[in-house]
Amino acid sequence: MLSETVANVDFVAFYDAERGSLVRFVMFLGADAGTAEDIAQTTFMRAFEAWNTSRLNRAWLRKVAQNEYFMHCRAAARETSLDADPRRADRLAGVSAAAAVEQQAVTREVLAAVITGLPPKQRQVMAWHWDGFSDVEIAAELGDSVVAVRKNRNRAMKNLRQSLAHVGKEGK
Amino acid sequence: MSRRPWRMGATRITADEVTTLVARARDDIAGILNDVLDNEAGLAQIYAAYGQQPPPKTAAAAPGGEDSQVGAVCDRIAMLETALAQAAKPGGPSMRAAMYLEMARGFLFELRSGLTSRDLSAGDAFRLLGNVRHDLQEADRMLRSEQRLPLPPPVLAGIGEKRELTSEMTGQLAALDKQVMRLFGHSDDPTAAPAPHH
Repeated sequence: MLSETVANVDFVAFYDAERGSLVRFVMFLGADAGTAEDIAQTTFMRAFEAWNTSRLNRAWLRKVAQNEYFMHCRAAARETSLDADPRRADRLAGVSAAAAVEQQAVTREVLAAVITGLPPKQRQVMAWHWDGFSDVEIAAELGDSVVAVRKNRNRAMKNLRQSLAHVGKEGK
Repeated sequence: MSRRPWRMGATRITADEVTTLVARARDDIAGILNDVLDNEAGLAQIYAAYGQQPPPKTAAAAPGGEDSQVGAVCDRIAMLETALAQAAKPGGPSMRAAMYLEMARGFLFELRSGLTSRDLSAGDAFRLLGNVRHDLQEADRMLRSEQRLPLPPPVLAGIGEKRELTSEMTGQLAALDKQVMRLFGHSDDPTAAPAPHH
């Protein structure tokens, strides 16, 4: 329903409001900052094409970005579609963002724990969850059952409670 | 035998601590991206790909500068206002919920006007955000109770759609909370915002 109303809102405002959070979403799926920036930009290209004709909302953006990222991973001939992505250096903003993230110890550790410590499905569910989507919404968008989403979320949280234990202690 | 460090002693932190760490990381990344992403250049690239020029912005501002930050926040608020106006249209299901959605829209309008004219204090901004949150919660509460009534399926479907919207709006509001706090140089927990006053 929000999508129908969003379709009447200026594309520029939509882009300004959503670009940063979409790049971050793709980073939590496993992409480095440069790739995430590329994927987000490609997604907004598609949004521009579909503006005023399709259902466009935050979920739409994330679904398209997720598919773009999977295609990118497959194109890079990865063994599994959601494996962590090799670093890219052709996006200036992405390079700056990656460098800045490296400077933030907690952020670096959290990203590492999510990207290398969680299996792809758990990472995917958590990326949606942290962007404010309910289990029901995630299930609908990913084509999974609500029970499966909840199970993956609980398992991811269990994994993170272990893998981030040292960060939690140092961060106190 | 090599073991993962976190296996030693099976140390764990709580789920709340994980949530706090992740929230901190997400805020850090949002701040970094806000500094490095050039939205004007990104938009120009998209419009150029279709042989068009991006529409001129109402106020020319340096990317990442204070004006552009206020502009970005106001744009987000305007988007939420539009969505709420649509949902609060008369004639739809659950008029009481629609009334709260309309009030929420009014507070958002006040917030946007105050930010645009630069005559809003941080306290007033957080009070308005608190009011919006409160009205969304009230709308959701009413919709939830009406969903239990023996109403015709099309009416129930309309109520379901409105609940979906309020849930989505609540998520958007959390992001707006953070943006407004950053604007006023606060890094506090948004839930610490003052209680609503009607």
